[in-house]
Amino acid sequence: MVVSLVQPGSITYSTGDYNTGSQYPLFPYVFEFYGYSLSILFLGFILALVIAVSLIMITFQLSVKKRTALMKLSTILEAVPDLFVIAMAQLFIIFLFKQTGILFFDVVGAYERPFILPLITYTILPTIFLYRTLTLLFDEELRKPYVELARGKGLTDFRVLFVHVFRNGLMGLLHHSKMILAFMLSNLIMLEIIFNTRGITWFVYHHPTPEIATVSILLLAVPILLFEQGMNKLKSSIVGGEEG
Amino acid sequence: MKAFKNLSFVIGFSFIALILGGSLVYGWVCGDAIPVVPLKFGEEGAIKPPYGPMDHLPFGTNALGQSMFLVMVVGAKFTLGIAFLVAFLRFVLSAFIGTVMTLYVPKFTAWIRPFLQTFYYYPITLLAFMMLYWVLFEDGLVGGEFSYSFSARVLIELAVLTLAAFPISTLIVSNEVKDIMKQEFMESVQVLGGNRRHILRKHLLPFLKPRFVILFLREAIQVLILLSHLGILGIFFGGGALMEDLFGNSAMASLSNEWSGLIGRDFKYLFTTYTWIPFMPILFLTLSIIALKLMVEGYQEAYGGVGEKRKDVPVAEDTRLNGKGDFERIDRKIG
Repeated sequence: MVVSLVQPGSITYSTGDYNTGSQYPLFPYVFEFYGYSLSILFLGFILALVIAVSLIMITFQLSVKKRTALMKLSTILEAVPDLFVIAMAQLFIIFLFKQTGILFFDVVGAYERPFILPLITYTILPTIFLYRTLTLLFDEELRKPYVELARGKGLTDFRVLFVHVFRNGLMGLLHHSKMILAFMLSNLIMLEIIFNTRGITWFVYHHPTPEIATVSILLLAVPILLFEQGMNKLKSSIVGGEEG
Repeated sequence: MKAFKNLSFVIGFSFIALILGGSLVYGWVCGDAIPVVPLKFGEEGAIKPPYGPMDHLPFGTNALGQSMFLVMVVGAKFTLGIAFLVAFLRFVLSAFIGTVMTLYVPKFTAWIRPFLQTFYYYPITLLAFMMLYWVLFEDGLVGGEFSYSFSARVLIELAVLTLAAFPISTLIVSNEVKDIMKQEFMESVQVLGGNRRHILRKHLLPFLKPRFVILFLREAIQVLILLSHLGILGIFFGGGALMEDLFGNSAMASLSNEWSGLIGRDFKYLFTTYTWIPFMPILFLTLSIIALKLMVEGYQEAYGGVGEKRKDVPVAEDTRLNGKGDFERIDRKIG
């Protein structure tokens, strides 16, 4: 096991039956799966962030009463399991197909990987999660003295929200980043299995050997840890404060 | 219990209590028997099972002609039972170890923290899948028989489901304890000579108790989600048996009408005309999770935002200016 990790080129995976299947080298090949998973993961995250932030910008124009109601709703929606969302998305596309005769997106992958529908489905839950977390962070941020000062200087509410609160609130998100990433990673599996999109977790599911499991852990954890470190550095250069 | 005055908590609690109680009573009275709905005759002659939700109220039947509603009811006690059992095990283990570790060996805890944090970056589902794959799936599929007995399989699965989340839960507890230890009164306690046992009993536990309730409920939600994921991946609780399905193909099936097993077994029918067969367990699972979530939220509201620091704390109202002044002018009374 250790030997095979030192020489990653020697790791193989087999296809088909254990008796008839042939062995293939894992390494250049796995990056194809890996690239797909990573692109879904990061694109999904960025898309969710963009949608959540734009929703928040709208939310904070509303009255406090409506805002509280929206918060409650998002709290409940956040609990909806990914399975339900995926099933509903697929059923909805099929419903549209039956009604209009146009298949808007590929529902299940075969030889080609579907991309759009998994991405959209994948984005829904993190969006709700981010929306809720960011609303709480922004709310807290708005109570701080500098907001009062900025208002007192005559800056518009929107400018205060967008420039000052936004920056600090988004950085507060870093403390929650572990939860969000853990949440997104566990959703990724269901997505890849159900949509049959052949990503890295799909690969592990179909080839569960210790070597492949270890490689997949490394492949998934390293870019995320790097990303987090990078964000921490970015945070300390933008808003100051200690790294952590 | 303050929590029972909160509407969200009561709604969530009643749903769980109703479905769990109903399931237990049904198992008690009818012995989990699920009657097969006989052939029905519609406008175009006989209809074969599975009946749709319109033909057989309220939720239609599955391929065997069993009412989906009763199947759900029978499965509820297993699904929720496993979820609560595993959540309880996780909770006891991580609450105990997390608290004791942070309190008694803080240096070791600080050292081990980065290692535990790594577990955030690998999906628990996949971890549990790889640990259970040989025991519950391949073993049974290849030989047709499992090499472990049923009770051994159940114990293995319980252990895996508990341990898979153990690092992260311990980390969460440890963080909470660390947060409380940072409060100002902790310094006074130490200055006044309270030892660690005293701190734990008198100062930590009162803060931790409501947080533990939340932790337990959250773990239950996590277990339900994990179970459903494992169901999709083909791992059913306690293993499955080879059974013939709707189209005469043999496939692994769950033994006890437990929801996650039903989801896993029937998910492929989602795109056929029999959409409701996999959809019903998914729906019930979703409703249970939402009910648990409502309980978490209600509990947090009742106890003033425990467990989540960023919950809005009610701002202390400034009552000084509400009409009456704080001071009355004495000279007027004299006159």
